[in-house]
Amino acid sequence: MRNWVLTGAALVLLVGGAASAQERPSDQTLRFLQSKVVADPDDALAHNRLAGAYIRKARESGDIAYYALAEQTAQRSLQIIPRGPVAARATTMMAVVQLARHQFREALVSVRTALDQDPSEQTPQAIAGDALIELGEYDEAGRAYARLAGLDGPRRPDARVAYLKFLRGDTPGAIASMREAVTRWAAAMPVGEPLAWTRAQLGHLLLGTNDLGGAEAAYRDALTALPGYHPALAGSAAVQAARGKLPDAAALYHKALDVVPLPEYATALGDVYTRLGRTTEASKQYALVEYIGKLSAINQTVYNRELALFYADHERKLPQVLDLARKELEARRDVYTYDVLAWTLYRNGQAREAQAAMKEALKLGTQDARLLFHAGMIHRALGEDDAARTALARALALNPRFHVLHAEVAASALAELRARR
Amino acid sequence: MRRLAALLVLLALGLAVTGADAHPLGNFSISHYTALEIGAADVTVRYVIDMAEIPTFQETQDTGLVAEAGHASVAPWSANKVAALVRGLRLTIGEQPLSLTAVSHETIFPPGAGGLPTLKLGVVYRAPLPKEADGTLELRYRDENFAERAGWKEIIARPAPGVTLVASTAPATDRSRELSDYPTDLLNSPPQDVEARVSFTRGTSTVAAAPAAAAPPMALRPNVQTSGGNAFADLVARSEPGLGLLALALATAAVLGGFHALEPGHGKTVVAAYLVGSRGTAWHALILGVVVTISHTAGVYLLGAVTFYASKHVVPEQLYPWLSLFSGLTIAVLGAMMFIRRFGGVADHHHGPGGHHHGPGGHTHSHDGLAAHTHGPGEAHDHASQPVSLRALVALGVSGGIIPCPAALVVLLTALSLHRVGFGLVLIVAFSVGLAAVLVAIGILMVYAGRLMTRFKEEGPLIQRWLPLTSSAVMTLLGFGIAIQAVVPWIRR
Repeated sequence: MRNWVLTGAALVLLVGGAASAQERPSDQTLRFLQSKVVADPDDALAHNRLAGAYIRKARESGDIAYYALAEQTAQRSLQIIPRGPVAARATTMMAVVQLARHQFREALVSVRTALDQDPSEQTPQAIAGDALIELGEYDEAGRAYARLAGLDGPRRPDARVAYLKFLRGDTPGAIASMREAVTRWAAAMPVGEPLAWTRAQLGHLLLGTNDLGGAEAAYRDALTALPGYHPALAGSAAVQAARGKLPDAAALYHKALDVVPLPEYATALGDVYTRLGRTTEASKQYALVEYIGKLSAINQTVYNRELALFYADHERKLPQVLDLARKELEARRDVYTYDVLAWTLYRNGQAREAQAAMKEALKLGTQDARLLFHAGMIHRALGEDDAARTALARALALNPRFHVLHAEVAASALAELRARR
Repeated sequence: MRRLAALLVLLALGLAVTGADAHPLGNFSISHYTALEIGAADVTVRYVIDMAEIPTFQETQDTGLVAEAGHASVAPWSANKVAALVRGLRLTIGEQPLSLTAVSHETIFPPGAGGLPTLKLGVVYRAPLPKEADGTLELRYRDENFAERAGWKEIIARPAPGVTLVASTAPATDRSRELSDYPTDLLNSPPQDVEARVSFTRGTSTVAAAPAAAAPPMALRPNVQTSGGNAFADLVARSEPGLGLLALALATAAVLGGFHALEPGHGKTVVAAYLVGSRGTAWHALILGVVVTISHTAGVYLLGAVTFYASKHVVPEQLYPWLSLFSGLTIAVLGAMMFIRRFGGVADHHHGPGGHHHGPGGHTHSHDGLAAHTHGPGEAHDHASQPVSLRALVALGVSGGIIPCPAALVVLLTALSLHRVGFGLVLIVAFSVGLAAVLVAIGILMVYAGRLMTRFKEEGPLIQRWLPLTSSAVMTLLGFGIAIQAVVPWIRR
């Protein structure tokens, strides 16, 4: 009798343990694949799948430790099978990790190696496109994505194409493609990071057009797909900030920061506090950004552009930040990096040089209020009042609440310019 | 070639780990550790929180804590934190909550990345178990602190003497040594355990008699690991290298270069064969080393520049077969020249790789201004029959060095993407010097080994004819081998 009770208790415990609350499906997948790899240490395919699971986990949690694990796992797979389609998969995983680390050129080398091993492999093309965008090779990127246009289901690169469309100034087209991507992912995998990411991206696009309701819904849906997903938390915070609900925005930014203290979240929270007049709290957040910057300099992590923008916006360390922006341009040559360089130059009083960089940033015709705001302010500094008026008016027309602090700066600069006429 | 490409990728991936995260779980992680020690009369909860650099900074921002051992702010902060953390811990027997009391605690600030402080707080909590309960008890534990933040979340459960665990969702073995030694191998993804259920029985006699054993206090240790990265790439990633660190970095790069020279390839055999075959001197070996260093450095720079600035137009791996082909043919031609010379006994004529150089061997040196150095005191004066031309040496050195070591290329690329171009360039030189030093050492060894044999059997046919002949034949074959290896993948495609 006693034995029966014990066995029953054990069973209950086992069942209960398996359904432990914090365990996400991705954790279970990880454990399953880990056990497979333990059972057969020479199973390269299982290693590849495990590497993929680690990458997904890294994206989900923002925890970079998983990227190192993914890298090791893929390396192990390459040791087992150094050639052919299996090696192509492993090399592709490597490319994904490199992309995440902003080693764009290395990622391209890996992509080529992967395609060398298996020319029929599709994913490397997508990764190549992503890396090429960061390197400012937009036509090449478009060609890489075009090679994938025939794919079906969520593997069709709609979300990637959407971003490229947005950069090229076709925001409505970008939103349509992103919605398509959301639909495809929702049909293929109704929960998880890929769907959450796609919905959050849709939210960002809608937020940029001042469609606050649409953006809010997209972020909410993203959080349904993956509870606690930090980009969606930060996006929801930005929606609240745009609505003027600053305390709500602050609370949401805090939530996002509790998951991952990214410099852009701390900056945004500091700006919200500044707007609220709570300067002590704002300066705490700004100090956190600077601290992350210090760590970033030590670790050479990937926040250089965000940090440079923060320093330029808040007029801190201006000469050094120019260095930072210029160096970032060596590794990354997309329009946003040029924008940050232009803005940094402007803040350093080099409006002429800033304009040259800004021209690069605007070369695709990206409809982003921040870019146009920067362009307008640079024109104004050069005394080009007409151009300044046009740029600032366009920025505010795109989104009158594009930034919790800068929208107001743009509006008053525009008013002043109009008065001058 | 494919093997080389695969090797390139492997090495690249092995080396290109960015940065030296002082905390193995990332700078923003907060790790948890709970050891449930279930005794007859009470449960001891050994609870450790390990905050990486960023949460530590946030903590100092929010609470005014100064992260220095012995600072006046530490004691009140610790007391507050011990009380705050216990509110996030749920411990129940059946439906009955147990109340945890802090017995002891400890706070340390191990230095993390760049000497920035991290924080470890360890607390020993204890909760008395109900005395009257009998049979199998079910203990539930849940840790709700810092639920969202990434980190290592580990729970273990162990019975004290007199207690038997019937079932447990938590393992009994500690995987991280109380958050001081995080396993970083690929099968140990950070555990995410925040809940545990343990059912246990205790003997009736022990319930009554057991005194509350004094729980040993926390003895926190700093983390064992500092980095999951690679030694060489980490050198590049280090911030603001001081003079000492720079010297160390250069020395390490040189040593790594030396090790790479010992790996297969890099023309060790060719160098040895040439020096033996042509009866070179230590000076020849040295010159060869210098040439290898220069050409290897140049090769890495060139390929790095191609990869970095022209990767869109030129696939860097496609350069490798060309370099191999060039290198292999040069070696083969040199070997063939030597062979013909030996075979025909034409000892006093030397043909350079391009056939541009003709002249009595004895004069070659003086033309090149190196004659005075080619003979040390007491060296065998047999050079009239065994000339070594500087041009041939240069050609050999270039062909041996021009194929850049993928590892070195990765270092350069890493340096470029980390915005440490100058440092990267210097490291490559050090790497090449190390590589060349090993080649030179092997060369010198061969030279003296050859001499030794000469002493044994001076002017014998083995030394005079067969050894150089064999060496030059080997060299020719090796050169063709390298060239063919470079060409074969093209033919196969």
